Amino acid sequence: MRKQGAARRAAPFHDGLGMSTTNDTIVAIATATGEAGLAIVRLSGPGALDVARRLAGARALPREGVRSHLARAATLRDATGEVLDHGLVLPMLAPRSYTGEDVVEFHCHGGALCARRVTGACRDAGARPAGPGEFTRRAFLNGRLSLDQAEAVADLIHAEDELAARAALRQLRGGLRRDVEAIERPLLDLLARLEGGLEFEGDDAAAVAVPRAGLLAVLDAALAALALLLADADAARRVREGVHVVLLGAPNAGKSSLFNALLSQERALVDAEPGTTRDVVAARLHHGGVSFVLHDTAGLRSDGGRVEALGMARAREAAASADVVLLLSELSATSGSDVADAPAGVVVLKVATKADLADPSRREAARREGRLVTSAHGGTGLDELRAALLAAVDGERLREVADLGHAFHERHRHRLAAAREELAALRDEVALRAAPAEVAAGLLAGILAELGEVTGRVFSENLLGEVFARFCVGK
Amino acid sequence: MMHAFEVIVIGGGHAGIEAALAAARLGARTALVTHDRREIGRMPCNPAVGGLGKGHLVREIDALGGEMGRAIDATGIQFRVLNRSKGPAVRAPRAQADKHAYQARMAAVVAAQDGLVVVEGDASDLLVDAPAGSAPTRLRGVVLSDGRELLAPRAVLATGTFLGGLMHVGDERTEGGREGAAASTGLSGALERCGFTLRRLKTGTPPRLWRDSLDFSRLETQPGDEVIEPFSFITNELQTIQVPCHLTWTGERTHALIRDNLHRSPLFGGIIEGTGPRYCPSIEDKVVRFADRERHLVFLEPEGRDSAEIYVNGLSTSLPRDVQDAFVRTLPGLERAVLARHGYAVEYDSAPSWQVRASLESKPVAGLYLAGQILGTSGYEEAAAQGLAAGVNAVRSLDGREPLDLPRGGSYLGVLLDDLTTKDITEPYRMFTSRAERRLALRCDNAAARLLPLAAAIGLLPEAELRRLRARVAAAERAGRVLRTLRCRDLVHGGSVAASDLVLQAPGGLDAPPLPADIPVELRDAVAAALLPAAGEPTLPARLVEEALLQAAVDLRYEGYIAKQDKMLARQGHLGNLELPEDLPYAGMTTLSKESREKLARLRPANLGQASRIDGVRASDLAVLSVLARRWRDEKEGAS
Repeated sequence: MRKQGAARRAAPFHDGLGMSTTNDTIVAIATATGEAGLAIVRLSGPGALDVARRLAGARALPREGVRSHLARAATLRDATGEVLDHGLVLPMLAPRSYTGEDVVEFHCHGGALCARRVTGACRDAGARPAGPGEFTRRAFLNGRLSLDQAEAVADLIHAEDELAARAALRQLRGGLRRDVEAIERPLLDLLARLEGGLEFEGDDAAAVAVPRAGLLAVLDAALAALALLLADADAARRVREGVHVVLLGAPNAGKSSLFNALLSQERALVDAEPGTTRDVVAARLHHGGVSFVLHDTAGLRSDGGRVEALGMARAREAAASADVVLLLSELSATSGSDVADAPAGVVVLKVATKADLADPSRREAARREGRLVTSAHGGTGLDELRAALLAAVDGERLREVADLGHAFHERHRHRLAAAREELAALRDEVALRAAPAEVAAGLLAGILAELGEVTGRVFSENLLGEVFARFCVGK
Repeated sequence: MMHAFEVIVIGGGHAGIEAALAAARLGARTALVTHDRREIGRMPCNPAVGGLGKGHLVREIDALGGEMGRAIDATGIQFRVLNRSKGPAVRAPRAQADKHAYQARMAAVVAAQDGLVVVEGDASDLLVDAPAGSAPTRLRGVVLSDGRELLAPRAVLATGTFLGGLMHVGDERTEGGREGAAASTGLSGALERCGFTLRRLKTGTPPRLWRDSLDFSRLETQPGDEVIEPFSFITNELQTIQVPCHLTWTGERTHALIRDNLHRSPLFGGIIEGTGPRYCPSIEDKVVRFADRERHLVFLEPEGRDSAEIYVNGLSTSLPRDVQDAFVRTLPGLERAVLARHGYAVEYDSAPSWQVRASLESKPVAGLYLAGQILGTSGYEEAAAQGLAAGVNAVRSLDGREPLDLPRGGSYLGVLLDDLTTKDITEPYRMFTSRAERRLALRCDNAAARLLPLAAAIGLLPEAELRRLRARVAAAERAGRVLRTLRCRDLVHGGSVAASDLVLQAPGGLDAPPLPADIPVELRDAVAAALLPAAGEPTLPARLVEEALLQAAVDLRYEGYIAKQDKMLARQGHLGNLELPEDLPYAGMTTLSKESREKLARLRPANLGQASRIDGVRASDLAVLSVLARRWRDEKEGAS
């Protein structure tokens, strides 16, 4: 489910690219809807100036010699001459604009109405409403964004809560790039030294020589830094997608009821008939600044029908890629029998349900067994459960990660994990197999290529330049 | 007066020689135009062949039937294998040449070659068909400055540093391609008239010293290898009596003298406009850019067995004569040194290499091939490699055949040609092993195996030599099979063990000798049997047998790494096979960055992989380009 999510989000940047998309001029309200002091309407494309001139007049936007990045006050009118707003007109000429095309912004008075009327007039003047992410796509196509910046913008567009938005903003400013570059730099230096040692002889080679211990020290430091970054990557994924919480339990254990109670809405179909939930149902829960994705699943039992079996397989799949599993059983039932169904390596919270139906004396015993006692009907224990969820995923840490700016894409996490694996292998080759420098250099170049894919930068071209700039080599 | 040939080669340097010999040996009536036939094969700079990256090229030239490896084997006076301790892939042979003997030998080989005529003269113009409509300009021949016209449908331009050559020593300026030789002035204009863009490049050379003015007692001696590893697979073994080189160092006094006179350097005074190579910095460059280095190593290399001149490797300079005289004498052992010739910088016209295809045929003029320094490269070996490719391709095109297919994953020659067609070379280009992504697979020890199919297809090697090359490759294959399949006694733990494990776990690791010292006798016997000539195969000299075994062992040891790297390269270049039509309208692709658009329009890469290697073309551009190229193709197909 995660992978699909990532692919879906990246999609606007990889399909539908084409020559025709940049021949027209697009318009959209660039600021968030809602009450604010200011609303910005943005035009981009070859006709942006013409369209804007129809609204703002030739005094604000002369036909010749428009000055880029200089705002002017203007009265905005529609085609009939009716005044829409008094605002500012800010032209940003290609290529020095966000999209790399001619861009004009109208800074209007706040509130949705003004901005909507201005947008409408732009459409009447020949602009087309922008599709989702279209400004960014143009920026990307015009080479105005690096790959990771573009993906951060994609995340920004899809950000589902304030936390993710904060992380996405950071990356836009190059947070991830900075961190990966901090890992790259010593490795690049090492590679330059290794290559210098291979390409030159005598005192030249001696000048760049890397002692084995020094080599290992650099590799170890990079390994440690990558491990930290990957831990953040996991947290960042939770920030972006939300923390996946899967409810597991026997049929009729009360999963859907708890699911609905946590969401305070009738999302899942609840029925006393065991096996009512045959597929995985997901919904989002915001709590404590953290976004959770709750997954209700089919009950786990051995004698259900074929459709139900399919649902159970999905439930297990969901649990395997979950961050937290809520293992449900009725308070009246004994605990422990279901734990085997929870996948390894996932945080499991044991939850006793239907407390209102059981003998109150059982509550204390259940708590001693580490079960959270809840009742979907009375609302018993729901606050405790939410708190336990927050504690289980270290909500504090998630907010920190968002502040650090580690907005990772699945692509980044993959590359970083691969780089760490390769780095560990290289360390072994050097430490255990006395790999010659040419082998170490080759492996290191591969690792830098992995890291370069995160920042969208390729180093091989610059390597020789690096060698010559840094070392006095060559006769 | 008119003469008709099939191929004309202009220039008798290292590119011209290989081009002319290849063309003539493949049966084309060939003319070699040179100012002075005694100058054929001259080494105007370093009296040496090979070295890192360059030695690899010579091995490849040799396997394909070129002349350079044989000539240096015959005339070398000191042989060393460089990088012995850094792994087999970066190990490469280098030799000091007796430059006069080398030159004499090359001149003799050229003179003796059937179908090759040496024409003394100065090529000053090109004869071309006036382009009719959209047809490209076609070469018809070459005009010499004395008015003679040589007609031929193919020509290889290998003029080195002679085009518009200008030499600098301090503020003295002399026109010429190198010391004592006139420049060619007419051809630059001819090329420009044909639509070529020219660019000034710069290179330099150090002073030469009189041997008897040196105090050898104060110099460190650098001998050659005890056992000589020749360049050519044709050479059996070399018993050359070797001549040592010597080492000395610059010091603080040297650097102070140079610093005090920088204002008199044409390089720093801004007189020289051409770009010089970073890897071959002048001593002034080194002193300025690496001010913290207390000393720089200098090699004193004899220019020949009996030559009175010593080449001072590491002191390339264009400072005025009096400054050169003074700073040379600050080096230990050179206190009384007398300069036989002063160092100088030379500026020359090059035709940036994006103007040729991978076949080295020029884009502006069909039938005209360019090779060597004129394309912006540096070095005898790089020049020779291009000369060979240009000569072979010129003849192939006469025969209506496709040019050689040399992927960069298969040889340094392929790397060189691909770099020439995808890089905008702004400084003289020399080969480095790090230019080869598949460095671990492109070794000297497997040059024979890598290039055998191509050598057979080219047809330069006489039958007997091709049989020898085949036998060498087959021996390594048989030995490799034994190492991969044989199980033998485990002398350490008892029981049995795979021979491959013994090779892989040999003490000394990946860089150990092919076979560990202590191996079961059945393995030793099996390997020895595998290395014997099969029925009908010629007997190989011991050194080639050893090389075959080394190749088999390194193939085995490096297999995993090479596979891993190949996987990565495949992933990086997964879009690389998408062909880019030659008429793609880059100028209109405003979604590409301006820099990319210009470079792509100029270089016109054949596929997306090539485009990805163009400096300055960004990843985002490639993503966009792949879409635009597909769309362009679809629209064209839809229209037709």
